[in-house]
Amino acid sequence: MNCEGRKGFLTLADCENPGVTACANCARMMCPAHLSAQTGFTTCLDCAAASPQARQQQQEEGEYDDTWAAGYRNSYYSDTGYTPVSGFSRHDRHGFTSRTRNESEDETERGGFDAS
Amino acid sequence: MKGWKAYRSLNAEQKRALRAKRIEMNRPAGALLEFLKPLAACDAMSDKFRTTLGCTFAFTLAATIVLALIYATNGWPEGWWTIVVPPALFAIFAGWGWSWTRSVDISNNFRKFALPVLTVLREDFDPARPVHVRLDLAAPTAPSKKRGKDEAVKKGGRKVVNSRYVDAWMSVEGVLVDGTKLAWRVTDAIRESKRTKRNARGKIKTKTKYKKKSTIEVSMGLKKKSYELRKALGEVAEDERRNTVSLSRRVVTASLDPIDPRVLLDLVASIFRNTRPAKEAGA
Repeated sequence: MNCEGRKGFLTLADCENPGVTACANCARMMCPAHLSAQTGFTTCLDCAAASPQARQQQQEEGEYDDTWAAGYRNSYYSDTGYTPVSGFSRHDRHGFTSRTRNESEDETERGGFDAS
Repeated sequence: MKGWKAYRSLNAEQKRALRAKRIEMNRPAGALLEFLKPLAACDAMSDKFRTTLGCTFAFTLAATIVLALIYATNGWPEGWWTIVVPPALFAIFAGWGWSWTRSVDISNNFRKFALPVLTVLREDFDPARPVHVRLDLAAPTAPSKKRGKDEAVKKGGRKVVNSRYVDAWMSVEGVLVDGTKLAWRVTDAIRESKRTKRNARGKIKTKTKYKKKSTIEVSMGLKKKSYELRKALGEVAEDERRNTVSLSRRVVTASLDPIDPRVLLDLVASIFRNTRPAKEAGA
């Protein structure tokens, strides 16, 4: 069974890693990358971020780790009503990430700014 | 000293970046954050202890001078050095520590804006492609950023001297997992206003005030085969593969404090909000 965690902020995609541990709080299967180090890898990042202790600790220490990022993402979505782009299927994602160098267009191009 | 330990744990490249107060690199987002996070930890530690070290330095230096003056006036008793030398050594140690924490101090924009933004967007960047990051971590009012100083003017009994600074301190370019090209840059225009006046007791007092205009420019090159724009938003440039949307926002503050990372995330999110999947649009 694959990890039930989700990746991203602007675009949200399923994690493609195999799930190895169930979150002690929500029971979803998670890969090691989606388990929180703050809770000794027993809960997922979302559950760890929602705990008051984690919030307080991060506010005090100003530490920006994966648990903080998960908490920020959840609060951003709920505060602003932003719905992340998630129209891309796993097949699309593979298409994006597994392209060959020749297929990847304009890799050296700069964005919208002048390359100064 | 924790700040020193944090500094010692940095690798040579990180130490160079901290001393030069400048970072320019092309790395995947994950590797980039691995490089940046220890710098932030070191900066946080040195920020935490700088004030304590500064106060200790001032106090012990004053104590040493006062003791030396007392003994010089009244004669040096036997074993005077056991009383004078410890505060002098403390002053030397604290002075060195204070000076060192100042030399490795970097702009708070790094810890309060750049790092949170890159952490939040890490998983959005294509892990197989490098993100180009340029950061100027020198203080916003560093001499190199000064662009001019106005003539002193008298205003209501006060002498006012305005200086202007331009701090183009962050630019990032990268490709997201969906193939969207994202670029942004942040430029601060700062006015430093030094107001000097003589108070009723004849003392000359100077206050420094700041006004900062932060301009955040975002550009997103959206693949036409993936996204369709709902309506015109900002400037849109089009080529056969992409719609490139450029937006900017200006934030004015009355201090040098870093702006909220949410300003940038809102801009980027607003561009995504204005799109719909191309498949849906074509259906």
